[in-house]
Amino acid sequence: MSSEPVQAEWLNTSQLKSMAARRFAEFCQQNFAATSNQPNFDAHLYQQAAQLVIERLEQTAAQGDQG
Amino acid sequence: MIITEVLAENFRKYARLHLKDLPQLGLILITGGNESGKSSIGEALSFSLFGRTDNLTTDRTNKLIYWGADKASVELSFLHTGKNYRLKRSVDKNGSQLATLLDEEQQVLASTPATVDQALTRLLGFNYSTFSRTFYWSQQLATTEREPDITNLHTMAGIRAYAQLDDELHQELQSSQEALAKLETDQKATQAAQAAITLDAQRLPDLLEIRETLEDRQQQSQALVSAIPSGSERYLDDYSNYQSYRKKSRWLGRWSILGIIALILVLAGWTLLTIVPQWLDGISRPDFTHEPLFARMLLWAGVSIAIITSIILFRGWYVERYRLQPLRDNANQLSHTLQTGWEQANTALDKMLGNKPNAYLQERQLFTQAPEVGKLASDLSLSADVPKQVRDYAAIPDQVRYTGQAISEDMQQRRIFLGQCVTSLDEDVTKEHSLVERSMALNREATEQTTQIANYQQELQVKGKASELLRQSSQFAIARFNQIVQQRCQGLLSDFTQSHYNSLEINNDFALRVLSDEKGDYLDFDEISSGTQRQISLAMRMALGNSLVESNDSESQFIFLDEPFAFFDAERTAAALQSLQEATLGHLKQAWVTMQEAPEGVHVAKTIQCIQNEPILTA
Repeated sequence: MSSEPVQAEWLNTSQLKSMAARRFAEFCQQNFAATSNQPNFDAHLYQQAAQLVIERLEQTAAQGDQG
Repeated sequence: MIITEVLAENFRKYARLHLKDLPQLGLILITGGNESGKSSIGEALSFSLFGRTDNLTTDRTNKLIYWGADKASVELSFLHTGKNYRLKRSVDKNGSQLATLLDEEQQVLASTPATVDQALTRLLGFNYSTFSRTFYWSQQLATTEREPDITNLHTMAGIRAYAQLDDELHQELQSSQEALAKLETDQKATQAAQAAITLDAQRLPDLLEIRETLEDRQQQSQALVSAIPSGSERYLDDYSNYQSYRKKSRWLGRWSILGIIALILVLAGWTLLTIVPQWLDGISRPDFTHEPLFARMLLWAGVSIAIITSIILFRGWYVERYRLQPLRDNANQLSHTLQTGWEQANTALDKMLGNKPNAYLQERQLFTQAPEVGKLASDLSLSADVPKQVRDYAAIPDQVRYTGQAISEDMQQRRIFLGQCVTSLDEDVTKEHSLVERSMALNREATEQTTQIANYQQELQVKGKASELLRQSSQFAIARFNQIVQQRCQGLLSDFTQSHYNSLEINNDFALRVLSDEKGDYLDFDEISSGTQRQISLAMRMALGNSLVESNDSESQFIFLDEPFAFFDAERTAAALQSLQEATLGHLKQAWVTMQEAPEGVHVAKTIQCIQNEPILTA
């Protein structure tokens, strides 16, 4: 896995409120960098999936059920 | 963070609670029976630090106020990274909180609940959420089992939210797959229904065109049916008028000619006598003594004849123009109507309607009901010349009436037949319309199903990928957790479980497993007793607490355990307490533990005895 995180704006962790979402976003930054050069990599699908998880983790945290 | 002093007023069951000279290292044992106020001390710490307790959120903390008092307050002194701090927090009956954080020089660092929260999070490196999971073991949490231990451990590993979301995503994926399968079945049914409809795109326009033709012909027949009888009746009246006016016109014509001839003669005589009398020289004629007078008389006679002839001519013109011409127009109109009717009656329908209507009538076998063609022509009592004769009023009225009646009846039959054809056609048009609408509805349904299927497939793809990413991310957290367990928890786990269990791990399916020395294998967390589960949870809490303090670069931290051994037997309690005392050698230097009774043989740094119904406690 690359140690140089890809600067994807949608993975900006500074706006995230929950620890779980932040940890996930940080993981995605590393993972995106490692996998984005692979053949058949679908960046759009990756973004949609990551954003879905982040959004849902934030929602869960907002409901007072933080992980 | 080490607590050095606690001063609470009108808090819970205490009118005054003052804990001072608290040891910075070792066990602080809080003992007492039920309802003696042990848990209130932990709540006082939680309230002063974060403005809430385990079961009272910030907006409900007015319930912490001592009975009869107006407000509750807690003043907490603590040592953190070598510096002393003082935190004051109070709540009034309306639930309004005040909070102030001061440093060791009594400088105010923050003066509102919100800024105090921010300052504390910055200072300590954790918030209430982390505090309640790591450094504060709530009795209520443990006894009510509001949150199962496995969930607590998931929380400690930082994968609780991941595990929950992964469950949700799997359920949603399953629902979406079921919905997709149903949609695909529905789509096949729709496609089969579409295939079952044989729709000719040209059929409906053709039917409408045929209908227009048939209706046009029907209207023509109807127009003839209406026009011929009235025309025939009028012919009866017009016929006698025409004969009369015609006779009069001829009479006037004859008199006009006579008048003109007479006028020419008189004018010729007058001319001879007056203008060229020399032409009469040598012609033997009676001797008119008064020839000039005769010439004048001729002139007057000529004038009279001219006037009379003009009147006759005018009268003739008038009769011709205003009497005979309208009658001729009527006759022409009737003649044309009769001629049209005659021609139609003697023309086969298939020749009149054209290809498409003929094909349709043949397809529907409607020609068998068509009126017989050429019936009028074969009727010897009818003449094909009647329509032409009518134009000159040469046909007698009875003949016209009879012919008109015959044509009208034939047209009536045709009109009825065409009406039946239109009715039959309307049924087909309705069926075709229905087919077209059904086909369009199926097309719409198919389009909608295709869109929904695409949406579901996209959703499945996204959620599948999301689940995959979540799992991968979880594996990192799990690996980190397992590492901490390996590094920090093994000894505690062994001590707290009396060496029954020495290791613990979370696998990639979020399942928690403990290594049993007896069985030499991992057991599922759910398989072990609830008492042992709590021992493991407590060991985990200590291990993670130590890790957290270390990662925050703090030197030391207090931990508050409210009745952690409630379900332990005496032997296990003593062993666990001993382990806890030894554990204070780590970063969790100050361990507050509440118990019903103080055990023997365990070194305790300070004991605080709570007494039932005693509102003041100083220790």
